[in-house]
Amino acid sequence: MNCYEVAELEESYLLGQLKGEEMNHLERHLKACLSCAKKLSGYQEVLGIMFSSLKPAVPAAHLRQAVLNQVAQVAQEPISLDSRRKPFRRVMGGIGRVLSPVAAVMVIGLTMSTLFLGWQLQEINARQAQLQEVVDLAASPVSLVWPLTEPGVPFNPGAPRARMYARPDSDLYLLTATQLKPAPQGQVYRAWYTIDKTVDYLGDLEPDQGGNAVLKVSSPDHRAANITACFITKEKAGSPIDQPSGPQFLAWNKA
Amino acid sequence: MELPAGISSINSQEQKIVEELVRRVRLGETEALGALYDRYSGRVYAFLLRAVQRELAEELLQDVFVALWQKVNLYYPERGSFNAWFFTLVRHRLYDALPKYQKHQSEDLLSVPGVVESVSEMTGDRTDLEDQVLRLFRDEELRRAVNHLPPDQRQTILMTYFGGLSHRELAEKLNLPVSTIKGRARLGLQRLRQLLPEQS
Repeated sequence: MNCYEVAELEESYLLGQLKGEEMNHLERHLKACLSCAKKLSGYQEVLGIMFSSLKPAVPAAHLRQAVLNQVAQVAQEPISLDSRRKPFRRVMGGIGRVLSPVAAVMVIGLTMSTLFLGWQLQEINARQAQLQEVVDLAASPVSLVWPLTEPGVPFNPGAPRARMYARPDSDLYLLTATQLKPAPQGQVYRAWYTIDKTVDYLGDLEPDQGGNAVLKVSSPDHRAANITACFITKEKAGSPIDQPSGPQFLAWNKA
Repeated sequence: MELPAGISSINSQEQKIVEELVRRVRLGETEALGALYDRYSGRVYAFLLRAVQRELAEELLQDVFVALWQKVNLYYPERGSFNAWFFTLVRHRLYDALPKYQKHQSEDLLSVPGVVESVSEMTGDRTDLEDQVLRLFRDEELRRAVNHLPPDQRQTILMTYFGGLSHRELAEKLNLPVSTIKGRARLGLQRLRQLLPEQS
């Protein structure tokens, strides 16, 4: 924008009618051109002085009330933030340019942290829900419990053992094991139960580093009260699950 | 209520009063607008009577103060005084309205008794007519300053800013480019600024 163009926009600027790019160009020019900055308001000020010096003419008295009646029904135009906050926006804009990369990194970091924390929270909630199910199942007076121990071995508190839980009013079958050693290479711990002389596969057990394992299976078979045996075998990994082939490692049998 | 005559009356005290009234108008106080009307309506009306007939001047007078009410939030003190803003607003309302109101014939433009007969006469016998227009200003200091301007600048300022003519219309009447008229107006205002005492 050159000096001539600035002069052309002078009155629009004074009236607050300039917006957007035009306003930006003009203000940029005024910052760089002292001559224009001095002249800009100077011309209008002179006209303002001349205006204030006009000999008044007396308008009809009723016009005053007519004006007040009209404005009572007319809304004021809102303050143009685009223009009025320019100085503030300029300062904040400068700070913003410096801080925006930092802010962007912070926002990304916070977003990532929030997502991570959200995921962790979900994990914790899931674990808590699982634990609650186990507690409900283990503590319920109507639950059926089958203790599994090493067959033919006298009770040893340090030996591997397991428990299977089920409730007549639930589809959930739960098997917990403790003090398990990792399954030998190429083998898995596999859990089974017997109803009416039929052996059904329950699932594979994967002990953690502490030797604990939890197996939770949802089954629509509500004949838990008819279970006559449940046991864990060591099977070859990937072997068929239709029938157990290995020896019973931990077992409970109805007396 | 009108101000006492003289440029010196537009002092800082007056400006403070006006700024306070403007602040209250921004808050939506119609009483404050009434007070501004009392201060400015006489001058606005006198200015409008330079360009249009009484009926239209009355209509425009109302329009100007309604516009003041509506657009008061577009007045930025850091860009100029209220007088400068308001007079610019008044002139623009007049220019906007002229086509709608069927601008008067030249002989009616300056029809206030005892002033001048017509714009055509003004351009023809300008010294006498400009003297009469100068009498519209009540401040002697201002009149002297205007009289110190080169004739073409004085004519341009008086006729385009206070005679109801646009730069283009005057350019057509004088058979000159618009840019020449604008240049004369700017030079004249610049010179006046130097001649007039600094306003407090």
